[in-house]
Amino acid sequence: MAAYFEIKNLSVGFRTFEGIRPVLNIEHLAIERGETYGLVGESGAGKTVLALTILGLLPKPAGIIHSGEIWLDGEDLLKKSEHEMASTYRGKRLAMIFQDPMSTLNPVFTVGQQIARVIEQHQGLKGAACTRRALELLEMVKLSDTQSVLKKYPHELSGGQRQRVIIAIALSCGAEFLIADEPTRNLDVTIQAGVLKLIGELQKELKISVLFIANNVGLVNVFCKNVGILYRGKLVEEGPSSMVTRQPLHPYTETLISAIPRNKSEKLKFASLVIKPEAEKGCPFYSRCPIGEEGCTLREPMLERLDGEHKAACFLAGRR
Amino acid sequence: MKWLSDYYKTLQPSIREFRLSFYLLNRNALQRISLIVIGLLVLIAIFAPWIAPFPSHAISETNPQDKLLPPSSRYWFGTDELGRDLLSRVIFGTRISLQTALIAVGLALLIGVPLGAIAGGLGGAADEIIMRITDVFLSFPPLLLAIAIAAFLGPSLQNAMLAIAISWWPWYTRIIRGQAVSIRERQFVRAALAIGTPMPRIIFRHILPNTMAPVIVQASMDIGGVILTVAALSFLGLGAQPPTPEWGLLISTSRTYFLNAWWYSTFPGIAIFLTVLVFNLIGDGIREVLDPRTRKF
Repeated sequence: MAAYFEIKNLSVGFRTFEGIRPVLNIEHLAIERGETYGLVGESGAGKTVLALTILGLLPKPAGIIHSGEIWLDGEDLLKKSEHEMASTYRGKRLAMIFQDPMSTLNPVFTVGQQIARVIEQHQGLKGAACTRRALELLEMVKLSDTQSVLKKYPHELSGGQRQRVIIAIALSCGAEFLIADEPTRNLDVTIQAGVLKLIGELQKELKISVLFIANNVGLVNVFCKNVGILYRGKLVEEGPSSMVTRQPLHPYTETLISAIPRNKSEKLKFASLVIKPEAEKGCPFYSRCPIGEEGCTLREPMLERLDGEHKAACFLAGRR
Repeated sequence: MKWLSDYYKTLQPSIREFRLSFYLLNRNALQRISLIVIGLLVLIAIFAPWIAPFPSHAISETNPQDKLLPPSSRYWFGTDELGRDLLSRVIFGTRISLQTALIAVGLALLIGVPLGAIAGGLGGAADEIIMRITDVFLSFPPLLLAIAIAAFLGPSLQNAMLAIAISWWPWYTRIIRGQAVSIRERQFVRAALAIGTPMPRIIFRHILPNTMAPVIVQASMDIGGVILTVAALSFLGLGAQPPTPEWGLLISTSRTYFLNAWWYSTFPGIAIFLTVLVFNLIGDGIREVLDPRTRKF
């Protein structure tokens, strides 16, 4: 049976002066209805590119989709026209929360005006009905004193409040699939927890599927069912979040987890350091891999099922 | 009356904003004087027929027996070669100058702003085409272009306004386009796209409002320049035609009598000078208020 959301053989590249450079190469990624999938990777891994590709907002003409299919509820999004994407998918079925809550709202309009516009455009509500719906949405994202928030400009709100408003706008028109692209970046830790809790609650309440993008494995573990680790545009490990975070199979995942500071006595390992010369072929992680062997440079490891649903793309994973 | 109170509520933030801007403008003595003078000019323009001592002199009534009289208690600014009261004519000229300046700047904004937003917002071929057209217009000295267009359209006040608007809009297009290009890359534009807002709507509802500040400044500074240009065109015989009491035209006619009737060219000249000065000062003031870096607290 086909999953609710499925990516098959997606390959995306960017045009540069030195020719086309591959950015994303995802063989398979599936998310069930009402499920949360965590996508983790360092900056530059291609997480945001994936999000933009799903929405059909890949920057043109730089970005090229070589091949692939993105299925949402039985429809291939990559075959939809720009007009179709804009009128029936973006906002209505797909929604996205962006990285930086400070710059996602338009600075010259009040929060109320911005919510009202989206509702007006997608649902045709006007005047008082529109205001009522906007207040409902703000209450849904647990903002207090909604009446006054409605009249405020974005700069008058705190980062957490802004991110809540953005979530309200994203979910205002009944989207069933939410892409949260590092929604807690630039927020301080206590606010992060609140926003994460809110997204988790809304996901259960509205029964939406969430693609949760993060660069911190710790965040993902909390409320994602499955986790995928993205490295240089490729999934290197995938599986149920508890398995991936507790018993990582890929050395990259291990370094990601060990990069979370836990206590003073533990020595921090930084995997960003290149420790071996770059190999021309083979495993993309080879040059940074602490356990890589000569054999890793011969061919590229594929994502293999190793322990039930737990998959990893590493030759050495099964042997340890 | 509920709708009225609702309407007021939605207006409140903008009223608050307006009050603040007004307050900031009002704190600088020079700008306060300019504001007062502009207010007076507007009042003079509106109530010209009631303020002018001889409203009938403004256009056509002539009194040859009173011709070229120096300033006196009866004719404060003196009279012209047909015996018309110069004060009344200058007062009616205020009306014409303010009107033409507002219409010409308004027209230029109406052409320039949407084109700039489209060029900057869409980019690509639309941007190329629109900006190359503005380049063509900008390659002529503005006054020369206005003269050429006015001469081509035929001398009249309407054509002078049109000529000024045509030679002026590329400046606004450039400013808006430059702003729009940088704003297009901002996160909220991407977010608007992600929520399904069509591009034309994004250009006019998200990008354009964010580009307006520098254009408002430019337009307010340009009002003075446009008044001057209208006067220049009329002076050259390409703008207002006699017997319209346009300031530039008054000065043009006074050239002949310059040596023995100093008041004839002096008072319209002072009127032009004063008006252009206060509009430039207020333009500077608006720039200061809109740009927090130059705001003096």
